Amino acid sequence: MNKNILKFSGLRKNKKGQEEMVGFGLIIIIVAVILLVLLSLSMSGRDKEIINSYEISSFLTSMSWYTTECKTHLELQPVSKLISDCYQNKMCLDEKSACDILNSTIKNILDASWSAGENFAVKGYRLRMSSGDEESFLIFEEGNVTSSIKTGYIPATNNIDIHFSVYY
Amino acid sequence: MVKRGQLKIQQMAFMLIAVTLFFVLAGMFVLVLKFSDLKKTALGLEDKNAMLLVSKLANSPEFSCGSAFGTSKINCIDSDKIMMLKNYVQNNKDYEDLWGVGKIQIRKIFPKEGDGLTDIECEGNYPNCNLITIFEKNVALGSEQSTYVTLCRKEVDEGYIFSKCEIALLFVYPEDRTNE
Repeated sequence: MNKNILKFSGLRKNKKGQEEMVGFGLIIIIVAVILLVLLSLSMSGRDKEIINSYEISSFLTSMSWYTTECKTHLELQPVSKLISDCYQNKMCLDEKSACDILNSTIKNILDASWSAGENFAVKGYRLRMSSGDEESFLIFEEGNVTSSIKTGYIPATNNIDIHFSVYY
Repeated sequence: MVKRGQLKIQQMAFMLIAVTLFFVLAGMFVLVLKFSDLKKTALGLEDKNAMLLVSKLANSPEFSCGSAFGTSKINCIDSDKIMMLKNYVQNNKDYEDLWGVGKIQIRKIFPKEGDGLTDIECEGNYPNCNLITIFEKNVALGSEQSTYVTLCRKEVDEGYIFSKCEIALLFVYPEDRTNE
């Protein structure tokens, strides 16, 4: 009888120890999984870095002062003025559309300044102009979108903002 | 008794492994956070240094447009003034030390001049050129810093004087003092 009781209590202790170990193991697995998830989340979040760049902002500023071929009265208009003229569908003195001249000027400036493609450091870029909350009315795109981005922004005249993102 | 002891040792071994694993993972997590922040800080500082050095030059009285081209503009360089400055510095070498750098150069990037592949140094051919080397000291040069600038000048067309602004890059080369 006594022998049976001892055997039974030994079995209970073993079972209790096993349960403890299983519980402990589970806790370790859960903690490890949580840490791994946090680690992967933080690493993937860091990959997509958007940096506000002085280089991009200075490019936008100098581009906005570039003198275009569009003549109104006696002056040749800078890009910043031509953007608001284009938004209002105005014409230049030689009857050319402000938007046509703006499109070709900005395209040529971007081609000359940012060589984008698989074989270059710059993989792509996107320049857009928008007024207030409205959708962008002019967009210039080239190359591919990547997760490493440098951006710049300038508020132009007549509430028209210029945003430029360069993908590396 | 022996079995119970073994179980205890096993439990302790598991515990040690778990604690080590926990600290390794936590350490990796902290390191990743710290190094990504360092990278970002380094990039920010690099950008800020370049910005400060080149902006200081672009907006100095010897370079800047001032109000000569309408409202005063940031990072606007008066190319007529720069050509005069270039000639002056060539004859007064002491002036080179004013900015504390080894070389200052302006490269027009739009519109392109000539075939667009070879640089045309501005001398008597101004403004039909794309490269203005203001000065270059005979010293070892550090890595370049650059910024986009507006390069403006006055032009005459049919008797009217008007402002013409183009896009250029201002390059500043600091003196290389790593061997000093």
